[in-house]
Amino acid sequence: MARYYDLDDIITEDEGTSVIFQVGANGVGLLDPSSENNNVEKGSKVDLPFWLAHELYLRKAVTINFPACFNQKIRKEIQADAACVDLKIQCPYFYEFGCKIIPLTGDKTLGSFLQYAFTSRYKEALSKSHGAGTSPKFLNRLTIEETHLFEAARCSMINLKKWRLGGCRLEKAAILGRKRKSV
Amino acid sequence: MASGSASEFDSALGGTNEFPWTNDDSNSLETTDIELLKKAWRNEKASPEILHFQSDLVQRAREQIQLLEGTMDEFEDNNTDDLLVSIYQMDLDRALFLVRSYLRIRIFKIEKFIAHISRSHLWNRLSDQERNFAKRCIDIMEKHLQQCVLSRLPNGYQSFFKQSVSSVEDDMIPEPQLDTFVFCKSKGAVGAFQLDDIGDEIVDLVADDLYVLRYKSIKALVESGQVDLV
Repeated sequence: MARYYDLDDIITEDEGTSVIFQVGANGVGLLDPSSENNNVEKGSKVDLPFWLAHELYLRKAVTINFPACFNQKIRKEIQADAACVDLKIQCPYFYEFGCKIIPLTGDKTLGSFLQYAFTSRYKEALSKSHGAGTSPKFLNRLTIEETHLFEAARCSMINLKKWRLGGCRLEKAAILGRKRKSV
Repeated sequence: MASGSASEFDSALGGTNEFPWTNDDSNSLETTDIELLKKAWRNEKASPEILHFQSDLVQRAREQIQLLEGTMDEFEDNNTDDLLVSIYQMDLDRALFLVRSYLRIRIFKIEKFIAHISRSHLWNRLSDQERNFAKRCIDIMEKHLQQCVLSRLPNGYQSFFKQSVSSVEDDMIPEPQLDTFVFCKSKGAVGAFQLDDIGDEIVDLVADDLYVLRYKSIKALVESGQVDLV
């Protein structure tokens, strides 16, 4: 796994997925809030973080349900108007999570759906990022990956404008401006 | 005054062989050292994995920089025209920047993928000093992680490379992402070129056209020098 130390990867894998246990598990009743004793029954539906669900899937102990953030309702909303859908509330790492889920659920259309969503939202984000200011409502709708791109574009526009105005090429470091308390 | 200094300028630039990058008579086949250095620097900057170290190129560049520095000292002793001195100084600074930036990028990549490089064929692509650096770097990292974290974990989880003894492969090593897209330009027409193993897409690489492709598909072409990254 190339991304053991990557922070974004760690947070992506923390998303909850609902799974159905195929075998009974003893001693891990913490995972299922509705179990009376300390066991998880076979066939019970539990919400697990993705990294745990992935490992258990590899050991064939669970089957993974399709996550709610990729269901038909969201798909219809995105096909209607992709730029207005609030993906951050659904899942802050929408695309990354989708890419990880694809081999586990066997849904062939998820890949092309993610691509379509990304391309249509990207056009909107690109045109807004080159402008002067953006309403915070728009920024709240972007996923984390889209926010990275948006911030990168915004930063480079600001730097370009600053360079064009011919300002001073050297900046005083922020730490020098702080007053020291006399001890 | 103006014509006198101009002729002195021309003779200094065009006459000697010691400053090949200021010589304008190079024909199209022969590329100067500075062009080769620029090309190696650009390739190194754009590629996600570390490329072969151009040891003779860097060696030649270093020698020429030393020669230039010697000439600069002579100029200062002889009190030559300030304009000439400043132009030579700029040239020297640019060459120094290229060499330093090239080495800096390589060191950055080594630090980032230290575990992967030390265990794969990429080790052959480092120079001797880089190998020393890499060895010391990985020793320090391992020692640090052992002392702080790994020695206090239960047995079976104490490895630097595998998450646990039951992992199938080394999953704790960050590897360079060879799937990233890069901009590239090919020098000569490569002709019909197959992009993936599935045989779906065939791309015609014409000379001097700019393409955006996955690094994995053109890896072999970059190594043979037919394609330049931009």
